[in-house]
Amino acid sequence: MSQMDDALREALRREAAPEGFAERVMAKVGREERQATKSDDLSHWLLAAFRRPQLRWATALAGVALAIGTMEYRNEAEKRAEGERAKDQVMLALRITGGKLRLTQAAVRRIQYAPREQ
Amino acid sequence: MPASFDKLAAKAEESVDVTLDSNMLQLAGRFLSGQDADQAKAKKIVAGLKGITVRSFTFKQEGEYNAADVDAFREQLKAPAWSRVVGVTEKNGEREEVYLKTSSGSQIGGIVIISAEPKELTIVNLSGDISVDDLGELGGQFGIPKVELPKSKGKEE
Amino acid sequence: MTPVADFEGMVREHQSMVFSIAYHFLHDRPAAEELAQDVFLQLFKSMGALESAEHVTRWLRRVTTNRCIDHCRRSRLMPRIGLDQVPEPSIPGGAPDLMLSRALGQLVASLPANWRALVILKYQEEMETEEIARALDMPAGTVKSQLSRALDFLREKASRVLGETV
Repeated sequence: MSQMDDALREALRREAAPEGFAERVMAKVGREERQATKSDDLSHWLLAAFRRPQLRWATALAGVALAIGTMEYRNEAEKRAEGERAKDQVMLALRITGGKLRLTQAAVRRIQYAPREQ
Repeated sequence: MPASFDKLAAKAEESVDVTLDSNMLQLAGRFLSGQDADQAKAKKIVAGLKGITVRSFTFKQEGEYNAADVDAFREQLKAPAWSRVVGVTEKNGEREEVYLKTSSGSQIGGIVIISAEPKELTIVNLSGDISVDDLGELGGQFGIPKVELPKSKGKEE
Repeated sequence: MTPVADFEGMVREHQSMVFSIAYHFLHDRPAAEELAQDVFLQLFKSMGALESAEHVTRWLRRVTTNRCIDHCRRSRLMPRIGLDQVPEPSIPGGAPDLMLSRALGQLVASLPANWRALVILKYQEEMETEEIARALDMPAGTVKSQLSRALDFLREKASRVLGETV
């Protein structure tokens, strides 16, 4: 087994998940389940309301409010996605900057400490 | 960045193109976590920046780009505000250059890094306020060593 | 055991694997955790389709890797080659293997997304070529050749930055 293989296995050894990870996953699952239940209830309510003429306007308005709410949610979600992308790009850019500074320093050292030609 | 870089992107096997103006940097700053050491440092650096541009090209073979592709960009760095603080050319043709744009006091108004390797060309341009401490502090963060900078503005070599 | 209790057990059993794939890919702990959480959320929704413990493991590896690749593409984290990050050794002449490992971890995170996936699945998960090919839906020959190129690249970069042959 080569040194490289060993070093890669060491470098890529599994890390422990952050503390509380499983609890946070279960909390997320719980929220999703509750959301799914709410959506089902809402769909049933809307369908039932539409069958009763006097509720149709209220239902239509509720539908519009829901659509606006959904649009706002989508805009918020898009904004969040954009922010995350910008953050990722900043981190990438700064890592590249640091990496190149490091490379430059290594190059300077190689020249400084290279044996002089007689 | 010169238009020739778009041609290089077309030739490159892989390329990176990051362009962030002050609005995007502000947005990014809101999403950088104060809990993570690297992100907290990035947040501090980004607060003073007006822009970040990174173009990096990796080619399949040597010789797919030439000095002329970068010279047009270097011309811009001959302006008085810019000083080349590091210029290293190695036997294998690798060339690393670091330019700083001086601002007031110990502030740096910008940094440009040109890293030209046989199969890879990278240009980094950070513009805005970067303090000498911040630049030096990049050392230890992002896996970067502390960078020692000249105390006074040197002549371009 | 109720399905939810089973599921929580699965999360605890596989959380390290999923988080590690994401972390070694993204080199960003908060992003890795978020991605890992989403994988498990997806697992919860897909439980009915999974037939065995082994199937769950294969599913998790494949979905986590694909999500990491998608994350990179969506973030315009174009494949980043040539990022040399080597931490300054705290002890001069410190254990070269440790330095090499640390350098490699960071270099792996700078590989193109596909190469990154191959290296992580091979060296973190100890998967064979055929298994990797199935997980990533790639021909085995392609896995072999791309892995070889990725390793050549890593070897060359590590040598240049560390100044030693690996």
